[in-house]
Formats: sequence, C-alpha cells, structure tokens
Amino acid sequence: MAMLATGLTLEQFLTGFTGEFLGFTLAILIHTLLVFHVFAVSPAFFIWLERKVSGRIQDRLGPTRVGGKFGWLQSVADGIKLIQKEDLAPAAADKWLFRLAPYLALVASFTVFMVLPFSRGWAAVVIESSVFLALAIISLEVLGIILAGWSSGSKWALFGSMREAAQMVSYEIPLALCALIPVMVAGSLNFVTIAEVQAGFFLTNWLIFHDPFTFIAFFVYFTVAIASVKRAPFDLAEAESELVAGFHTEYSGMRWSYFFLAEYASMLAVSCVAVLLFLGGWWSGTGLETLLEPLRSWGRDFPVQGFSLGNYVINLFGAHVFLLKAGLLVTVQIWVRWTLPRLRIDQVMTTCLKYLIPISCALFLGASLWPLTITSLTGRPLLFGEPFGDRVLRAAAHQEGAISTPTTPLAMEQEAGR
Amino acid sequence: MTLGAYLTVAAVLFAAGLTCMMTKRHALGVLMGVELVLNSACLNLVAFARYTALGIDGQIFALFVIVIAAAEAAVALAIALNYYNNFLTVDVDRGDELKR
Amino acid sequence: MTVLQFLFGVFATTTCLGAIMVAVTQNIVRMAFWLMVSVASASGLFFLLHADFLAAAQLLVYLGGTVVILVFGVMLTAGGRRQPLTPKGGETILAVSLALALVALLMFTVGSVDWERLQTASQPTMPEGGLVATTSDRSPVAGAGRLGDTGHALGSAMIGFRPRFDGEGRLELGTGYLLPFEIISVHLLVVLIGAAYLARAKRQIPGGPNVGRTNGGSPMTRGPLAWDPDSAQYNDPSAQSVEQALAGNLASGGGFSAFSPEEPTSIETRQTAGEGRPA
Repeated sequence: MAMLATGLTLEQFLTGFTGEFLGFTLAILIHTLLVFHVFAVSPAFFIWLERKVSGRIQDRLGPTRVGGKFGWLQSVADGIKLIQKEDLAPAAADKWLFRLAPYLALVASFTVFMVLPFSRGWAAVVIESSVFLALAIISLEVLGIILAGWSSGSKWALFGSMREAAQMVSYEIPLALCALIPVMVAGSLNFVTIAEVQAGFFLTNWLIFHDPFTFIAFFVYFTVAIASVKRAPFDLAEAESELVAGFHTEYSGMRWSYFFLAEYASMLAVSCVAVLLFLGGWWSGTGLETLLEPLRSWGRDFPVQGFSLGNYVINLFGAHVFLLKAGLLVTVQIWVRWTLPRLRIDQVMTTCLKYLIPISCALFLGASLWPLTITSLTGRPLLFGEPFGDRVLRAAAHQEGAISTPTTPLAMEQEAGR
Repeated sequence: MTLGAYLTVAAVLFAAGLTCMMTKRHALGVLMGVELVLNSACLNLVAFARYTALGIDGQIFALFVIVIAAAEAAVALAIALNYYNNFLTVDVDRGDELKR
Repeated sequence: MTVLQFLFGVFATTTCLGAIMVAVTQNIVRMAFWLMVSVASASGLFFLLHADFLAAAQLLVYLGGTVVILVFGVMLTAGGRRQPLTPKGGETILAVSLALALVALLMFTVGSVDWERLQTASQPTMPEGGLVATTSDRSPVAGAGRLGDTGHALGSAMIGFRPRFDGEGRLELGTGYLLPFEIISVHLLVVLIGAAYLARAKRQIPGGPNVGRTNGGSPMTRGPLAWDPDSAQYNDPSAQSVEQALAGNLASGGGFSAFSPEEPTSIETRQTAGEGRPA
C-alpha cells in the first residue's frame, strides 16, 4: 500500500500505533477514501467536461449558468436532481437483480483504481500481476450491465445487454494483446515497474516511442479501450437511435446515475492504464524529476517518523502529471464520441474480429521480433536512448528500496513468523 | 490459516456443485454445477501448492483447470444451443429420445 | 483474530454461500449471479494463498469469460414455452442427502489427517543468502522474490524451465510444462473451431426459434418475461403450425417429439415449412 519514504507501508505505519487488526482496517479505510475520491470526483468533472466539449463541437456554449461563468457546478446540480428522482422498477422486472445490477457495475469500475499506481509508491495495492489484474477487473463491468439488461424485463434493455456481452467478450482479446506488448517490452506485469522504466526524456524512454510496433499498439489499444468502455462510436449497448437507451432504459434516479458513474470512471481507468503502459506513467517526460531527485531526501522524518516531505511533494507532482495525462486521454474519448457516427453492431464485431485481433496479433509478433532484428542490424538493442537493461535495473533498484518490506498483512504475518 | 480450512471450503463447494448437477433441469444450470466442482478442485490444488511441497506445480495445474473449464463452457454452451434448437427447451430431462 | 483469519472467514463464507445459493436458487440468471459471487470470492481465497496470477486469471477467465458466456447462453435459450424447471422432489432429497454425506466424508478425511505435520515436514531448508525462494512457489526464478509473485515462476515453468529446491536445499531443474502448454493451446484452438461449428449446425426444426437468428434477430424475444410472445421474429407462417403441433404434443402429455415417426403432423409441418422457408 501507499509507501512512505523509508519503505514503510501505511498499514505498517499504523500498525505500530494501534495493533495489527485496527491498523489494517484503518489503512483500508484511508485507501478506500482516497481512491473513492478519484473515482467519484473525476466522473463529476468529466460529465461537466463532456457537456462543455460537446457544446463546443456542436457550436453551442454548453452549461453556462450553474456555478458561475463556466457552469462548473452543473454535475452537482445533476446529482441533486438525480437523487430526488423516484427509484422505479418495472412490473416485468426481476426486481431483486434489477436493484442489484447497478452496484455490480459500480463496484467493478471502482475496483480497478485499487491496483493503479498514481505516483511512485502511491497505489492502494502493489502486486506483481497488477496489469493482468487490472485488465481482469475492467472486463467485469460487463456483468452488471448484462444483469441490468436481462432483469429489466424490456426487450430494448435485453438487446442492449446482449450486444454488450458479445462486444465485451470479443474486445477483451485485442485489449489484452495490446496491453501485453508494453508488458513484454518492460518484462514485467507490474504497473510500478513498467512506469519506472519510462522515467526520463519522453521521446526516448516512453514505451509508445520504443519501437514502431508499440507506437501502433497504443492507438489500437486506445480504440479497443473506447470500445470496451462502450463509448461512441462503439456504444451499441445504449444506441439511443435504435434501442431507446439500451441496457439502462428502465432505470431512473440514482441507479441510473450509478451506470453513468461507472462509465466515466471506466473511461478514466482505461486511460490511466494507457498512460501507465505507454505514456510514461507519472513521469512528466521532461527529465525534471531527475533534476529534483536530491530533493526526495529533503525534510526527512519531518512531521512523523518515516515520512519525507520532499519525496511527498515530488510524488504529488507525479500524481498530478499522471492524472493530467489520463484526463487528456478522456478528453480525446469525449472528442471522438461527438465527432464520429455510431457503427452498426455487425460493423463493430467485424472491426474487432476481422481487423483488430489480427492487427494486435501481428503487433505482438512484431514487437517480440523487433529487439532481435534491431540488434542484428545495428549491434545495439535500441536505436536511440538509454539501454533498456539499465532502465530496468534502475527501476528494480527503486522497487527494492521501496518495497523491500512485505506489503500485505499476509506477508507481514509471514515475516513475523520467520 | 491451515490447509484444513481451505479443504473444508473446497468440500462445501464440491458438494454444492454436485447437488447442482444432480438436481437442476436447466442445461446451463447443470453447467454451473460443473463450474463449481472445477472451482473446488482449483482451490484444493492451490491450497496444496501453498501448504505442501507441491510448490508451483499445484498452481500450474489450477491454471490448466481454469483453461479447461473455459473451453468446456464454450463447448457446453454450443451443445446447449443445439439442444435448444432441437427440443425448443433447455430442460435436460426432455432429451430422452433414445429411451423411447 | 488476525487480519488473515478475518479475510479468510469473509471469503470462505461468501464462497460457500454463493455455491449453496447456486444449488438452491431456481431462477437461472440468479444462479449465474450467485456463481459470480462464489467465483469472485474464490479468487479472493487465491489471493490469500499467494497465488496472485491465478486469482487474476480466475477473475478474467471465469468471471469475465465463462460466466458472461453462461448468461449469454441463458439469453439465447430463453425462448420457447416456459415450463417451470423445478427439480423433482425425490431427486432433490437424494441429491441433498448424497451431497451432505459427501461433505461429511470429506470433513472426516480432512479432520483425520495431521496437515500441520505434513506442512512442517515438507518445508525444505533454504540456502542462506542464495536465490530467493518464497513459501508460495519455492522457485529460484528471477523476480520471484516477493510473496505472491508467481507470474514469473508460472511463466518459466510453462516454457519448460522449472528450477526448484529439493528437500535438502539443493537446486534441481524440473522438466517444466512446455508440452502440456502446447497441447492446451492446440486444445483451445480445437475448442474454438468445434464450438463455432456446433453452434452453427443447421437446424432440425424449421420455423423453430432460430428462424430469427438467420434473419439477424434472436429468439430471445420469446423470453420468459411477460412480453408479447408473437412480437418480433415470428412472422414466418410455418412457425404457427409448429407451435400448434408442439402445443398438441404437450397437451397430450407426450412431451415434445417432433422426430418420432408416429407424429405425422410434425413431419408434414417440417416438410412444408422446409419448402416455404427461404434458404
């Protein structure tokens, strides 16, 4: 969990004061609260942004009144309106599942943020297979949507959820294949390692510029990510022009807004994954962090033992860079939505099965052969930039410094037992 | 935690899956029972991998079990669809053509 | 109570509860929901067992793949006449008593073995300061130092490299699992093709519910919910006669038997409908 400067995790820090069980519970609560803020506040911002961007694209102003000149309180007003609405369930619905389904979608899209590192050591859970786990959790949101569509007792909702099921099951494959390419380049399934490898100047060190295959893979990943969070032009699950509102036709009030929360949070989540895998994670790409590196030890043990103020400030800067990049990618998703027309369902499936899967397979193959080819041609494994092995070693050194101590209560128990 | 606790959970999973397979008449309900049984086998393998000298081998077998379960679900779904096309129902008790 | 025990309690309870509810519930989609609960909690148990990669695989393959496919299958087969698929009383009693007997037997077996002794006896002595080996995998593969990091060890075992420490702490090279890995990949391909072929097999009942499928629709509009059953895809005139034949069969108590030669109506229906149907 979130790392303090000397390699103490938050729960270890708290355990020192309160005992194991209470410390662990407190650490869970704090992490949940922090992650929940990202999860709940960012959709509010992105919904406002969507209104503004769509307004500008359609030559309108978008919201202008609520909360001053830019209408930045529009989402809050929307939220208050939605809370007040009546919570309806149709007579034909399977009421129990109908009420439960929005929470399933919400939980799935919330849980992704658990494994995303926001800055060096700022992750709720650090495990080695975090890329794999994040992809697995991203694919779970579909369950809530399928159940919502089925339990609504409405044919529109059922069509929407069947489309979503078919679409998600197909698009998971290219999503995983494209995410595998940076994993293969960095040689790790851990988000933290993959992001640490990309420190330094962006043109040489970000994985998107590592070789031509990763460059294309980023765009394929982004396309597939848009489809997997069912945004236009792939939003066949809700297709207003054909299916009324698709899987959430019968929903109203807060339960309806849970689907929207889940959708916008998933948009942010897949963008965060893209930033971590391809776009340098929390590194600004200017080399500024290497200059500021000595500052990390500044203010050591200042408010409490095991905490470094300089390190904290630099990490905070990294988190802002990270969220800024992810926010830009979400903006691109919004831009795409209001620019491109919706595909037909057969076109969506064709795009995936006939084009995206072969393309991502070819990219995967190319990316695995690239180092061999380039080494035999030029004699070094990279065209330019710092050798990759050095970067991996450096990342491993940071990792060892930060996570040399066990990071889970289970591991702590084991340590204590030894 | 001890190995016995995990084995107990797996036993309950296995029994629930078995009951499901025996009592359900919906073809996909039977399939869910099979999934539960495979899941309990997985849990046993991983628990043994953790607590005995089985080491990584147990996890590899569990991984194979998961893959096989997915493959089995795909084929069983195709069979269920075919069954439905032939009998207009998914009630497995109606597939008794050979008995009559 | 330690954190580990607490988490185990939570996950074990939800796993068992989900599994039992799958067996108890009669509504197939609710069964799928309870299966989700059980499978997701089982993946939590995998995390507790330091099998992170496996837990993620469980989430991705079981929950994101298999359960979705199951629900998809439920939707595809939800058409037709809706009969209550409740189990027969005798079967239920037999099954439940068998299951309880099995649980009792397994519990007895679990209780009669001294697992602790096995556990301590099997702990190999690790070489001091050598390659890191954890209790979870005991594999000296690079990167496998941290608890729960089984990804590297699993991957290298899959490509046929499986070093491990034997009982005396010596390093030995296992054979690995390259051949099973290759076989299972071919197996998956075969399953892919086979399932696609099976699901696309030509239908036996003309005017049956999969008429809609070739037209781009689906039979689910005749679903178990209270919708208008004749709404979407049943404009085929042959459908009506099959419906009648089916209803007659069901009313006479003979069940559905469109294939039996004693049923001239259904054969006739089949032929006429086969002619009238666009290819």
